[in-house]
Amino acid sequence: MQTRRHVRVSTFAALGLFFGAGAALAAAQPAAPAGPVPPQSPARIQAAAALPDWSGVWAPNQADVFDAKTATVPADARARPPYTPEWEAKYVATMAKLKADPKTDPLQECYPLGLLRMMSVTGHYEFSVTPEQVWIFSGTPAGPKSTGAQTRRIYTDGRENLKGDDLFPQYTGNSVGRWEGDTLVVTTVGLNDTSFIDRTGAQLSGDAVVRERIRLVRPDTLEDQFTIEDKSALTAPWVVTRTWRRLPKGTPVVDDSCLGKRVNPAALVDAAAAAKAGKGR
Amino acid sequence: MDMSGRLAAAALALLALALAQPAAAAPAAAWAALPDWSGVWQMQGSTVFDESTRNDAPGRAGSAGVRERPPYNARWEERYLKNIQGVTDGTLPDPLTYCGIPAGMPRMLNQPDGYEFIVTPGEVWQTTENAGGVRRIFTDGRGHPANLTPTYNGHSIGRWEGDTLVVETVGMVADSIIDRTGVQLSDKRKVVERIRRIDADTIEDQLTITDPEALTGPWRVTKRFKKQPAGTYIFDYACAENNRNPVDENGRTITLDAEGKPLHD
Amino acid sequence: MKTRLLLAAAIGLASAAPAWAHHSAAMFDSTKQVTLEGTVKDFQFTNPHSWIQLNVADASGKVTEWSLETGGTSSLYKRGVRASSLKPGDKITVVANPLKNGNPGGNVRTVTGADGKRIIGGGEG
Repeated sequence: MQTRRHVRVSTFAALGLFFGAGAALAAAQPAAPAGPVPPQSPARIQAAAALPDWSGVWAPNQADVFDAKTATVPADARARPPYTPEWEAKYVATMAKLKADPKTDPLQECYPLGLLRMMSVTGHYEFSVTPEQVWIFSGTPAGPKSTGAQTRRIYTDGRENLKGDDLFPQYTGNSVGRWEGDTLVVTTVGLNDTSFIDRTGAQLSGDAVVRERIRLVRPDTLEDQFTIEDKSALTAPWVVTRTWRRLPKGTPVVDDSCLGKRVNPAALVDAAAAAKAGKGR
Repeated sequence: MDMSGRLAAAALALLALALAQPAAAAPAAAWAALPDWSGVWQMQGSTVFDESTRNDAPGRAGSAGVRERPPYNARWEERYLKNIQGVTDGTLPDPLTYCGIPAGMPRMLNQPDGYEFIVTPGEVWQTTENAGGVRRIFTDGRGHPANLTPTYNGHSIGRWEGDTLVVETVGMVADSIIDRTGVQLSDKRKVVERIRRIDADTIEDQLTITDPEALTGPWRVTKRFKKQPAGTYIFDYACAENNRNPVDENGRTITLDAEGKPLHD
Repeated sequence: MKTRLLLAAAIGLASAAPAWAHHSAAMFDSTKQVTLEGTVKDFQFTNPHSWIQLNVADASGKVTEWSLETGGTSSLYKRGVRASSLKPGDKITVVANPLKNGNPGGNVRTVTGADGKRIIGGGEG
């Protein structure tokens, strides 16, 4: 679905308020009142009732490496990712850099993890499913490895992937999906080329296309089959399967700040005042 | 359509579904009872938390005076005035400038960019595009945990009263500021919300904040969110992506040039 | 390129800080506006702010690179701005609130292309 360029007057008025553009604009209000709340359509209820039950909190069954075979096998024998020689060399160099200085991991600066890494971290996962859209939330809670909240969005309202000028690189890319029965089929483009796909430092280029088939394989086991293609970095499509187990009902979810430390503004103000007084000003 | 009309429509839908797919009737009933808050929404008004503090002359957000809100006790009013001075002379940085620190509650009702209100049976999520915030409101009947470690978002439980979601949030940290004027509250605060879609274009959140340590009475603030055109996106937001306004060791927010050198003396 | 650097004492704005900024705008002088005509060196379409690196030549031909701050990706995208909207080499005119300390930085109010079309504008703050 194309992004609408024409914006309603009411939205402009709201933007005017929003940007503090001055009393005149701030006073402007939409001319006509909005209509009543539309009732929930039977079609939407039917669509919602047909969705699979992915509710609750989930934990990954695999380690926090995207494909275990990439990390444990010696470099010259490793088959995955099926990198070109240039990208294999880049991966080996990044692994060495990370080993020498773990602070070069983007996680240390609290960057969003990116699509593939947020699907491989150790921590809590939630899969929120509505007729128009699916969200996947993940994160490693407070502590030295805390990631902060991770979110990806899969639009299932019929829109197509962004393309051309409208597409720009994002951490989680641009994902659209459709339901084939109980299976969510997803296509993601527009991934950036700076994120690691997991903590080993593997990366993909901005040309990557990630396809997924997500479904329950047992009542409490969710499976995501990834097929990753990258005409710049990979010599062949790379297939990886990850699964999650549903945790008991009522399992709490705690996400916290990535930095894991508090900043108390009042204490900063006091410190600044003390410093000022100390300088004899 | 009024309430009875809506219920009638839902009942008919249920009947149709029950006849067609008996197994799906239970989830259909759960969904039929929920409002449709799908799409992207945008907060109306400025990012000063309580608009009335902005306009309550002669007292207003960012200055002393006869301001009634927040209804601080004397000790916390004094602290707020100190924070206001800190904002004015640039020694009170906004914690959001430290990338990675979430806005938390209730500030995450107070952000620019897009919002989502994700309604499913058993759980509701509210997301903010700005800084990628997400909070979860459990509507499955659970209570608050006994030993709650305070977090930025706190712990939220909710119940549906017809088409209104009534939420209670406790367990929020004391360090966060509520808006850029320097409003702070204690970790004893409780936020109760009544969230409802009041017309086709508007979700309204009526907040009542109580704080036995900081406030003399309940503080009521109403936030409204306008529906954005169909097809609107929420994009990734990484504060750390290109933060050229870090905080220096004096608490001052500085500006960096393209090479990362301060544009300040 | 001959460039005019105008310091206009503009009308004081109603609110000191832009509503959406993740940091205080106290560093910018909201009572002054500069008009910069220059050539785009780089356009960083990013969060929390996008930045225009603008090469501005003074009367003697000396070029200064200005760092001009504007909205994040989402707020710009909504208004039709794309990463490709400004390319290195584009000649544009930027109106901005300058840094109070006089260094070459500012908070964008409007960006206009060589053809006179508004690229970013209208109370950007």
